[in-house]
Amino acid sequence: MTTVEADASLSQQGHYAGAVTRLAAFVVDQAVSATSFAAGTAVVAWVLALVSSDRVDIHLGAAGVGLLYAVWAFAYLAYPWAVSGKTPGMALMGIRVVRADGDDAGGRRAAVRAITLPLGFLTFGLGFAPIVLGRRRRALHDVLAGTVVVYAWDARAAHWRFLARRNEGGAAGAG
Amino acid sequence: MDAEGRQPDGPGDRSDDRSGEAGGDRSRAEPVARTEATGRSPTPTGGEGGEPDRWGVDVALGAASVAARAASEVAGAVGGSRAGRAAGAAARWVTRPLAREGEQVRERIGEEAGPAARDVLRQVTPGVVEAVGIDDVLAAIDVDAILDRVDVNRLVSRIDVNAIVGQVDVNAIVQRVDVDALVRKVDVNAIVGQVDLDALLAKIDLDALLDRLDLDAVLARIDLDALMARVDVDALVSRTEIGALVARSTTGVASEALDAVRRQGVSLDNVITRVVNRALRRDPAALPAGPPRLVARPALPAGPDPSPTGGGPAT
Repeated sequence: MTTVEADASLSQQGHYAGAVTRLAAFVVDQAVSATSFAAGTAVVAWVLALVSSDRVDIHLGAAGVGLLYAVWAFAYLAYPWAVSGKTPGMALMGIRVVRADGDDAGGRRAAVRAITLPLGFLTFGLGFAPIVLGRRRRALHDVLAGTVVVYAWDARAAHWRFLARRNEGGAAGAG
Repeated sequence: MDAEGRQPDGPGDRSDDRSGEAGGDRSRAEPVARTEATGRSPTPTGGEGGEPDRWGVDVALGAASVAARAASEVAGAVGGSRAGRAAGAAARWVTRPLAREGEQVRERIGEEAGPAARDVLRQVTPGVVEAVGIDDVLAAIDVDAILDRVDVNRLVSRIDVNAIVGQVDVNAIVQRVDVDALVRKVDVNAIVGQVDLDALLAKIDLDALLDRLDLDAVLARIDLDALMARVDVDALVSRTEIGALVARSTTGVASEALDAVRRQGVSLDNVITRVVNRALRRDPAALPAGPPRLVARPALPAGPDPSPTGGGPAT
């Protein structure tokens, strides 16, 4: 085993996550959330129709569907944040929500963060500007909930995996 | 000296002079008489004989002996009478030259006795050594008996070792020792080869040793972060079976694609961050990297950037 001097390029695990990664995670979450909501409502409607033999006809209207989607979106975001700090999109991109000091967010902060998330849109996107410009990359809902988003992805391990795969490929090619 | 006035010129003559006590008195008186007549020292300065100095000494001693004996006889015969005392005074007056001569001879004996004795010893010693069998002498000595009679403990107890050691300049001795040469001469392998490690380890009570070892204290003194920071994990993964294990445990298109997506996302984040910091003229080093509890410890080095584009983040 050889030794090297400490490299200046450090793993960013635990560092504040950047805008691109968070935006990608948000897009994935919205896609998953909307898809799952649509699929869920379709399944529920199909099951109701199957069970009631089309005798039940539910018309919620746009407001009703919007409200239902909002509840679904809240559950989709708040519950994973409270449990693991990461939604499916965030897990995919390797980021997570934590308290400002680094501890787990907890249920209350997760709920506040999910409820205040739309404020960023209601402020015409200004609520998200601190993600790019802020020192701690905290959006408006992060400030209100007392949370931050950090990299949870161990890039170092990924780097090792890359090296291992490369060596495995080289050995297989040589063999 | 013979009747014709010749001086004795050889050992034979001297031997003749020494032979016989009665004849000796006469023959030894002759040089004295000659000395008194000539006023010279009886010690010839350049005689024809081989050892004139000894001849003079013999003459002086003989004269002194005759004079002493004559004085003793006269003193015995005359006793303490006035005539005897007068005769004694006359005798002292008559023998004054002899006394002076004797004094000179005595001084010469004192001066020359040492060299003469050394000459004698030098001539005699080889013969004595040859005559005496050293081996026989040594064989006759019972060394064991001598050693048995030696009380070594008492002898050692009388030695002040501390005083002896105190007089030794250890530093000077050590400075004169060529430690490198000494070490080069030591066959460490041979020494180690003679050590029965199994027996040595069998005597070690590892449980007791571990009980006495405060592992917490030992670990507390180890800076694991600094230690791990010095480990080239990249080389470790690349060159050892650990890399194969990692590869087999994570092989899959999904994980590889996921790593690529994340790496690209982080890379873009870093680009934006650099642009913003430059626009706002912020020092990136002065910015907080993350929550205190998550970035309190310095992260491990990630090694060189392996991304094919070369622009991937070393995260």
